[in-house]
Amino acid sequence: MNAPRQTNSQPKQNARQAARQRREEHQQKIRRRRIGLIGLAVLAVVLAGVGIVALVANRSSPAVTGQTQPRVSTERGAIVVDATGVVTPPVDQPDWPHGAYGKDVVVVSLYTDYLCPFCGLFELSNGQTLDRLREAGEIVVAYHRVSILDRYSAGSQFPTRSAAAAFHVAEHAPEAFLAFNEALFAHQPEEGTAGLTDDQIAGLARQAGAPLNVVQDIAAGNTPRDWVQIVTERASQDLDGQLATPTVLLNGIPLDTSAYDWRQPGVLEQAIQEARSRA
Amino acid sequence: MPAPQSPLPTPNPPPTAAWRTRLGPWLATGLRLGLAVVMFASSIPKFADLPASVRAVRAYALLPEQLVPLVGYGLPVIEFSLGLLLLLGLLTRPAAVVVGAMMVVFIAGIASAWARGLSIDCGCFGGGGQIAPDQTTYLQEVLRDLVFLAAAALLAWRPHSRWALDTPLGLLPPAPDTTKDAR
Repeated sequence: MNAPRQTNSQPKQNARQAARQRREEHQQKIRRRRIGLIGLAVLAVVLAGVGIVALVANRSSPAVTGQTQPRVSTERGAIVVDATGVVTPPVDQPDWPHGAYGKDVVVVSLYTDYLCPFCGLFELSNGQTLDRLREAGEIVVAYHRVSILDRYSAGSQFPTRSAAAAFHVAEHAPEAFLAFNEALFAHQPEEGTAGLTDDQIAGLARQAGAPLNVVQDIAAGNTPRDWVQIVTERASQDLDGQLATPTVLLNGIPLDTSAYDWRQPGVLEQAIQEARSRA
Repeated sequence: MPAPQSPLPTPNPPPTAAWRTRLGPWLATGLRLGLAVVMFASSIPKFADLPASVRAVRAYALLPEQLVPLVGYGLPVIEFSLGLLLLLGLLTRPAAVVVGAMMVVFIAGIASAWARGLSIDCGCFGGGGQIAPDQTTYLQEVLRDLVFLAAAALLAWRPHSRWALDTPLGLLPPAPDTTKDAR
């Protein structure tokens, strides 16, 4: 290496460097254009995907399926039972009006999934108390049957199928509804299992006293499953997204489970009496 | 001629440029595929129960009701698409930036639910919605998303990886460490 040669090549090096820089700038331009094009294509595919998913998910909306509201259900998805049994809500009411039973009758709303273990525990701890108060005319019970645990049913959608069967029984064999509701909890499957088949659910309806045609409907899966999807979504909206099961409302106000542990005997009844005195 | 000072080889040689050139792309490959798995694991359960995805978004009580279904349906699509891009190594850097931005939003959402005293499951990998107060795992959820955020940031910083479509398509600038290797 000697100094003079280096000095001589300096202008050449500068020219080479400038050329390389131009080449790199050109390549960067091409690269950016390519990234932009591919990015736009990807964005278009993603937007189309969102559209498709929204369409598929809306299959169960009332407008698409023509699913009509069972006469026995309130618009918000409750099966209302008073001292005389299942009540058909008046058609001209948008929803079951709380307080429609008079000042002293507390409306107890239960949001329940037939697969939820705590709902089974609630039924076990409080079912008899609620029956007694209801038969005495002190309360009416609004049974909201929802399906939020389908993903824990090994793909069988047991929560949706069992809730739909409950609506079907309430609609077509109202005298069998309470016994059927109780039987579903008595035969509650474990989370993570497929649960009961449609035939097994139909068998429980039969034992609860439903007539043969209703039992056959359930066995054939001819029950308002789309309605269960609709009312589950409405329940989630009505509870500001805080839909858990079981959720208990007394005259429309959520029961504070940290203050009222309904697992303890007498606690739910006490909360009901307090709700009555507040009304 | 200076003789070696010690007959022993130098312990712990400092990482050289060559070392980083060789390992960097493999690290980026690992980050890319790892984040792709995270994206698939978070989107597929949401597809399996889309109504639950909508309810999970609503449970945060942050968005107006009109936007809730859009986010509930859109989020799994976006996550799945990002998973595909990362798996293919296509648009690695933009994908990593979007994943990182999403993690920032998720962390903010979880922290906000925590601060407001909600008891919800984050619904990150499907599910979601209200749970018992003693079952919340906000701290774990935030820490987990911070790890994903760090991975995304690292990948966005050095997106050159093996087995990536970016390379044949020429979508990445020459890597600072591999300039000498480039033909």
